[in-house]
Amino acid sequence: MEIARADVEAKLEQHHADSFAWAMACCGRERSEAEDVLQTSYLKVLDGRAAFASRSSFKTWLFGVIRRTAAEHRRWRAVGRFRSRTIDPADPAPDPATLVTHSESSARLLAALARVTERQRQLLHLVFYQDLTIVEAAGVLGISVGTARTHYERGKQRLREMLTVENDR
Amino acid sequence: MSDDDRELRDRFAHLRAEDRAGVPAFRAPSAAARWSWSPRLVVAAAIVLIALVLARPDATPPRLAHEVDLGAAAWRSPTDFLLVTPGRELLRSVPALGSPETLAPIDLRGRSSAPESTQS
Repeated sequence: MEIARADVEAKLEQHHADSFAWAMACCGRERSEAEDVLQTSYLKVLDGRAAFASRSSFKTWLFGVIRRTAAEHRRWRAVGRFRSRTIDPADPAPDPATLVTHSESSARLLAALARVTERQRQLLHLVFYQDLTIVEAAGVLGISVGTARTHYERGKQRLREMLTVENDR
Repeated sequence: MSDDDRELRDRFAHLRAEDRAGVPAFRAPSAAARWSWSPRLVVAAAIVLIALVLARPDATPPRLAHEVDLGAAAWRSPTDFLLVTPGRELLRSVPALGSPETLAPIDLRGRSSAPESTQS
C-alpha cells in the first residue's frame, strides 16, 4: 500500500520527539550525530529507500530504520577514524554538557545507563523511555523475543545495582 | 509491575520530560538534500569503472620505458681463451675410419668356411 508523501511527513512529525530520543540513544547521546542520523533516516523514508510494509506499527518500523542508519553512520565514522588515525574513545558516557542540562536524578540515570552494554541500554530505553513492549523492542532491534527478554532482565538488574550504589554515596 | 520497575519507569519518565525541551524542530529533508548521497555513488561508479579497465584480460602489458633487445646483444667472456686447448678438435669430432670403397670385401668362399674336424 502506497502512502502519500504528505501522510508520511505527518507521521514522521508525529513521532519526531520520540525518534530524536531514540536516535540519541543509538548515537551514545551525541546530539549532532543523532540529528544527522535522524535526517538520513527521514530521507530514506521519504525517497522510498526504506519502505513501510505495515508488518508492524509505523513507530517501531521507523525506529528500526533509525537503528540501522545509526549503525551505518558508526561504520562510516570508524572508517574515517581509521583513515585519519585519530583516537576516539568508545566511552558511551554522556558528555558534560548533557549532564548540565539535566537534573541530578536524570544525570545519575544517564551515567548508569552509560555503563551497561549497548544492547541492554537500547532495550531499557525502548521499554522504559518509549513504553514499547519487549516484543516490539525485539522487533526494533531485530532480535528474538527470548534474547530481548534476557538482555532486558540483565540490563535492568545492572541498572538497579548501579543506581543503588549511586544512592548510597 | 514491581516497585523497582515503577521506580525505573519514573526515572525514565523524568528524563524524557527533560529531553523534550531540547528536541530540535521537525524539518523534512529538502529535495536538494535528497541528492546529497549522489557524490558517493559517482565515486563508487568511477572506482568500478577504473577496476574494470585495469582488470581487462586482453589488455596489453605496459611497455617499459627502456626496452633491451637481448637478441642484438653480444657478449664474450674475457676467460674464453682458457677453453681453447690443444687437440680439442679431436674431442669434438667423430674419427673417420676411411671410405667404404677402399675397404675390399672379404671373400669368405675361397676359404674353407669352417674348420673341418681333424678327427675322422
